[in-house]
Amino acid sequence: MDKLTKLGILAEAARFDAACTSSGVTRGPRAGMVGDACASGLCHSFSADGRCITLLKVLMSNACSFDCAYCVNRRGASRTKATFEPRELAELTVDFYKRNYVEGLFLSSAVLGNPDNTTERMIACLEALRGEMRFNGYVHAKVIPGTSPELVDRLGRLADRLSVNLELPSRASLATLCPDKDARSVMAPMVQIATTRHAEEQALLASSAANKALARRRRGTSGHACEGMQVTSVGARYTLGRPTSAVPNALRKFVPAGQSTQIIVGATPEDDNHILQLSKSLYDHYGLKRIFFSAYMPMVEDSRLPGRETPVPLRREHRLYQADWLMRYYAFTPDELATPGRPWLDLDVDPKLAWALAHMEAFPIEIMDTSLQTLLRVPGIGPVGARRILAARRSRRLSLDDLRGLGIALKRARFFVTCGGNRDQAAPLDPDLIRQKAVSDAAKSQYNAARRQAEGQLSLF
Amino acid sequence: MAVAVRCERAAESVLAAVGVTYLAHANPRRVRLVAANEAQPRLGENVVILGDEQDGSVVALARRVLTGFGKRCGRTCARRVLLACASDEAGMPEVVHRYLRLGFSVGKRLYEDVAAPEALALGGLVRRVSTECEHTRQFVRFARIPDGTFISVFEPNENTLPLVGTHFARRMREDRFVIVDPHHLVALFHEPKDITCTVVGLDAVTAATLASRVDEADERERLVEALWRRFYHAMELPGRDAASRGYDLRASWMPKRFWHGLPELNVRP
Repeated sequence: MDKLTKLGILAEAARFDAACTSSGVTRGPRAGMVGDACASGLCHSFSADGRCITLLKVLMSNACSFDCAYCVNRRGASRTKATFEPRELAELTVDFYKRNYVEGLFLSSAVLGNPDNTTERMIACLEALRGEMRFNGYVHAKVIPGTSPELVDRLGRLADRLSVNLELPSRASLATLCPDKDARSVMAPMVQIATTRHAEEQALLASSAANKALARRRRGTSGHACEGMQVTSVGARYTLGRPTSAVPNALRKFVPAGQSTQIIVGATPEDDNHILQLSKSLYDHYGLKRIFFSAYMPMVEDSRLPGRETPVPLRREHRLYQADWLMRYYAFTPDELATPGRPWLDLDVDPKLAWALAHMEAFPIEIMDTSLQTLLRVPGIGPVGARRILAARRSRRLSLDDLRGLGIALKRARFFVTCGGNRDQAAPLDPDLIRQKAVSDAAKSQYNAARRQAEGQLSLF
Repeated sequence: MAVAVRCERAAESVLAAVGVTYLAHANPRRVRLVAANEAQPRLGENVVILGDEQDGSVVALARRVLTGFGKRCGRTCARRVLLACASDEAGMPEVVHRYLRLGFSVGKRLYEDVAAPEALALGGLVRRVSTECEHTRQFVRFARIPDGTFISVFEPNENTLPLVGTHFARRMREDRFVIVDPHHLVALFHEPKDITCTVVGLDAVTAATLASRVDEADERERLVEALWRRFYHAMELPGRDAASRGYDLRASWMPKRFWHGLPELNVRP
C-alpha cells in the first residue's frame, strides 16, 4: 500500500479524536534538534468542518481487536486495514513540521493484537522521532486501556501530553458499549499519570532550578479568590481557577503538558449535570488539563446506540465546552450551570447568560466598584475585559461608551451593569424580556443569517 | 503655524518623527504625523519631510525615543508601540504620535489608563497587528527547493514579518529558510544555527525573483504536499460542515485571503 493511501486511511480513522492542541509546555530550541514547543499552542489549519488542525493526527494502525459499539474501527468492521511503520511515521512528522503544516504528532492507535504490543509500536515510533530524527516539537500520545504501567511510563517520557479516553460518562454505559474495556482499565493509567507527575513535582520542588522558576511564577498569582480557587494573571487576562502547579512544565520529564481525556456525548442517556460533575471530579482528582467533548455521530448500526437519524445537536457539545470553560476560568460549579432539578444546559442561550437570568437578584452590578469575581459573572465580560475594567477605573470614571471601547460585549452586558449609577435605559430588567432580546439578537446576527443561507432556507417573506 | 511631519511607514521613521517634534518644541496641538504615501496637507499647513537615514541619525533618534518611552512608561507600552508601527492602517503615525505624547506626560499610569482615547486608538492597531502576526505564524507554508532551502511567499495585511522572525528562527534553527512578503517588499533570511533572522527590505524585482523560486520545488516536494492535502481532507468530519453547523467556521478562523497560498486548498500548477 502506498504512503498516500495509508495516510488517508489512518488519518480518517483518527479524526474522531477531538483533541488537537499543542498547548501546555514551552520548550526552547536545542542545538542540533528540530523545532520547539510553545505553551499557547498554534493552529496551522482548519478543516472544512471548522476544527483546528495543529498536529499530524493519525492512528498507528486501524486493525482493532476491541469491539466498541460506536467505533468505525471496531473488530469486524469492513474497512481497509493499514498500519504505519514506526520510522515512516516519524519521517512524515518531520516533513510536515518543517513546512509549517503542524506543530507535531498526535499518535493514537486501534488495539493491534493487545494493548502492550500496540504501545510498544507507538514507543518505537516516538523513539525514532525523538532520537534519530532529533525532533524537539510537540507530541501527544494516546494511552490504550490495559497497557502495562512500565509502557505507560516509557510513553510518558517521550510524549508531551498523554490522554486516556474515558469514552463514556458512566461505568454502566462503558460496560454496555465497550465490552472489552472496563472502568478500572481506563482509570488505572489516568491515576498512574497523575501520581507520577505529582512525585516528579515533589522532587523538582526540592531542587534549586525549580525554586528560581517558582519565584517567577509567584509574580503572576494575585492570591486566593475563594475556597480552592485563585486569581491568576496570564498575559492580558485575569482568571479564576484551580491553583496551578508550582513547577513549570518545562522542567518536567514525564508528560510535561499533563493529561487530557475525551467523553462522547449523546450516545448514552447521561445528562449535562452528570457530565459536568464528572468533569469537575476529574479536574480536581487527576489534575486533567482538558476534557474534550465529542457529540456522538451515528456512523455504524448497532441496537445499543441511538438511531442513525438522531444525531446529537452540535450546540449541546458547544454548550458543554462553554460550561467547562466557566468551571475552569470563572469559578462556576457544575450545579450552578446545570442544576440537579434542571440537568440540561439551555441550548438557546449560553450557560453564563442562563445563570445570570436565573439570578437577576444579583444584578445590576456597579462597574466602578465591583470585585473581579463579580465582574466575571456578568455576561459579556471575560477575563480580558475584566482586567481592562479594573485597570481603567483606577484612572477615570467609566461610562457605557468607555466599556464599548474596552472591548466589552455590551450587547449582553448592558442588562446587568451600571456605570457610575447609570444604566442603559433601553435595556429591560425583566429576565423574560432579556431572554427574548438575547435570542432575537442572536437570530439577527451574521451567524444565523449565514446559517439560513447555508441551509437554503431564505424566505422571500 | 500648523505642521505635518511626513515620515515613512516604519517604526524607526515614525519614532524619529516624534523625536523631531519634541526637539523642535512644536506645539502638540498644531503638529501631526502623516505617512509619506498619504500626505495631504491641510490649508495653511507646512509639511516637513523627515530626512533619509543615510547617516544613521534617524535610527539613532528613534532608538532614543523608544528607550526614553520604555523607561518612562514600561516595556509593555514600548512593545505595544512597536506592534502598532507595523500596522498598514491609514493614520497609524499620528495614532502612535498621540500615544507617545500621552505616555511621556503621564508616565507609568499609561499602562493602566486603557480607556484613554489615545490608548484605545493604539489598542485597535495593536490588536490588528497581533492577530496578523498569529496568522503569519499559522499560515506561512514552506516548500523545500532542491538546494535544501525552505522558501515561503506570504502576504499579510500588516507588515508582520519583522515581528515573527524569532518565532521561525526558534522553530527551524537548523535550517536555511527564506520568507518573502512581496506586498510590503520585505524578506526574512535565516542560516542554519542562527538564533535570529535577518530582515531585508527588497525592491519589487528582487521580491518577485525570490518569490518565483518556490516554483523550483521538485517531485519529492510535490509528494509531501499531496500527502498533506490527503491528510487535510481526511480530517473533515461528516455532519459538521457549514450547513450543519450553521455558519462557515473554517472561513472565520482561516480568512479566505490566505487560501491561495495553502497547499491543502490549492494544487501548485
